[in-house]
Amino acid sequence: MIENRTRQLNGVQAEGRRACLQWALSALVAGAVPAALAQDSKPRMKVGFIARYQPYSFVQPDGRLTGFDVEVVKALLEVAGYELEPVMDTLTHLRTKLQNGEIAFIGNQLLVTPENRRYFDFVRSYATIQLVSVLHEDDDRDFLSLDDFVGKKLGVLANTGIEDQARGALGKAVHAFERIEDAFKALADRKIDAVLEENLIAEYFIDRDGLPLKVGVPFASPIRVGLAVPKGHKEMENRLTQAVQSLVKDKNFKTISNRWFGYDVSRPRVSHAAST
Amino acid sequence: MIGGFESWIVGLMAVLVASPMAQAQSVDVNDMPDAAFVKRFRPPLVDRMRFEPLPPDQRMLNEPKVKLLARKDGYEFCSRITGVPISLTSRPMACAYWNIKRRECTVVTPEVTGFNYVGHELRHCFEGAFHD
Repeated sequence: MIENRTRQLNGVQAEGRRACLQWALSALVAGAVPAALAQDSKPRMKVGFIARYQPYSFVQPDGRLTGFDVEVVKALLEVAGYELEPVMDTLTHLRTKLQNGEIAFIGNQLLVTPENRRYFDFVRSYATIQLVSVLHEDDDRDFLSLDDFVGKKLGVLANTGIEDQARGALGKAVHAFERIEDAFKALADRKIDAVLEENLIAEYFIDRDGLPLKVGVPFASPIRVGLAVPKGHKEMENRLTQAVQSLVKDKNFKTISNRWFGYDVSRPRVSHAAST
Repeated sequence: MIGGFESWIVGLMAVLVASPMAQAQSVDVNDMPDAAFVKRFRPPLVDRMRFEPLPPDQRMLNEPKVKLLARKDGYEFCSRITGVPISLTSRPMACAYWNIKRRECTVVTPEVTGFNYVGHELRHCFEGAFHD
């Protein structure tokens, strides 16, 4: 009896979430970019994705577009009765296409930086992304700050803010790699002590390549990211934010998240006890 | 439900006994150099209330491996990873981070802490986000 009631309530909640998601997206798409209407098929919406951006948006060897962001956006649009028409390009070109109205929004979660805020408004995030240390799975050392890496070898992605910051604190102990996969390989081979990288990128490569590595300590607070809509399009920003908020409570999102990372990445992975 | 928390308590005791905190018990925290400063901070309301632990099947982690790190830079570390600033009137008194796939959780505190802060973070290890 209680179980039935719970099931009914869950059903009502799930339906409610779905209705909310549909409502949130219906107005969004009404004002969206030209959607191609094929006979007997769903209307299509053009959404921009950064090409070769694993694990978020990339083309598989068989030519199919895939990625965590691609699947999330596909799920968002499906509820509104739309089919995704992906447009793959560099971020610079996507920005131009967004300004020219050639795409409705950018389907990757971009960093909310002052530079990006000049061109975009941002939808609320659906993933907790943090800079973390990655260690060998047998390594029980606790590296909680850059100071803890003095005398150790730290791997980072070359030509990034992370490299600048790490070099400032550790100098030559920092090993910069052109591809983050190579840094993880060096760590797996115990040629370096740790790698600093975003948690989801690390989780993806560890799983994909079956590396004997683990995601360790967070090094910074969660990064502010979000789907990018054209600057000033508050209506679209708000509608998409509501749609994302509904989606992350949906079973479909958890399935996508589990498939890519093994857990629900919309939930935080740090906490604090504050004083009053 | 309460029984489910027995492992919680056992885990806490094991962690406390194995850590430098056990040695610190013989020290009167009121004699510590920053005692007057730390005393200004009161536990948050959420730590002054009783609560019902989530049933095991609803927990984020049911049987996590818990590590407790008491660090000199505890405030600074917690501020850095949570984004909660350190000010004269408020600061993160402890924090935790977890790895769901590995079923591991680490609680970080300053060198002097309180039962409520360790308990608060330990609850996070089981239940994930339960406030804010």
